[in-house]
Amino acid sequence: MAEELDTHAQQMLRFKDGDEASFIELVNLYKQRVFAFAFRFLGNAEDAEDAAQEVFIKIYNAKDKYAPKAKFSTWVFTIARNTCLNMLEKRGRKGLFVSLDEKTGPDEDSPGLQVADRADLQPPELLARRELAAAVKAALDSLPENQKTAVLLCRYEDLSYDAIAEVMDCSVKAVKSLLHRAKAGLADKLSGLLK
Amino acid sequence: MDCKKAREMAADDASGALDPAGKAELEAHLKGCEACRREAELLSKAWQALDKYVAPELGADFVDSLMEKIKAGQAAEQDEAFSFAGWWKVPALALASCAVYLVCIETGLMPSRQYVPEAQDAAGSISGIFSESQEPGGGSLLNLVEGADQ
Repeated sequence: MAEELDTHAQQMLRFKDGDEASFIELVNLYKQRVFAFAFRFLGNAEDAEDAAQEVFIKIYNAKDKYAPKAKFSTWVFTIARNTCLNMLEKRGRKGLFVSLDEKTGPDEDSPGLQVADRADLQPPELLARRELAAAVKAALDSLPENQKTAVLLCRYEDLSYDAIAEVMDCSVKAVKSLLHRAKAGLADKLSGLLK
Repeated sequence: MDCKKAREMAADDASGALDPAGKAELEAHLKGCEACRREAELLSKAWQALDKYVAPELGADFVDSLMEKIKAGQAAEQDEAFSFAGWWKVPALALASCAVYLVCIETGLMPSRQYVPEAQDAAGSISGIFSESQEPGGGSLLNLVEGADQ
């Protein structure tokens, strides 16, 4: 492979050579991203945190066999996706819809579904945002898993089509098709709120 | 450009994946097509609305908890290795080998050596040779004892 190793892959190789601090650094760099991906995939924070831990345990245990064939982030999200899929199978599909009042954060005191709100918003606007956030979650959850995965990786992780194709083990053409259908599905579900 | 193609390009444009040439082509179509313009707007708004779905922050103890799990997993693996192989393995294998050997001798699967006394000197010492027993079951330990008595 002609391309230079990305810095995170190099860190992983240092961990492979025995530098455990490099592993901790990688965890700190990726933990929130992996958790957020799992959270949006699985729908609740508790399962997402378990999934995120499992991802890093797999990475830790794979160090002796690690050989960088792709970008490190691509590898991490491949593991994350497979871990979430396995978790869905093991635990069964949980309810797709979470009420706004249900605690979905990792701590008991965490608020329900979080919204990107501002302190100066009046309550009606805040309610509208919360309603939209819940509707977005519901719309995402209604998508087939492969479309949802493509959206999560494209929209929230900003992965290229090539990287998404590698994570999902499909062609770039298939990724584009999945995203087209996902976007049409989302637009259809959210049309009532977005007009 | 037909509307089907325009809607596909609008979907790409919503996520910023359309190149400048494609964007120009799309905009030209949208200027003259109300339905496609509304569709493109909706696609774009739906894509932007995904921002509203915010993931919570991970707890501060995630890394510590992770490393504890990893160390616990390593300790469990070591315990498992010791409990299986451990110091029971060697004597257990030795006993098993002896048992198999004796069973083979008793059943004649393995020929045994029978002590055949050749002579007994005046002092009563017996000297003899060990010969291969040709008889089935002739490998019994009893035969060695009987042979010694003869």
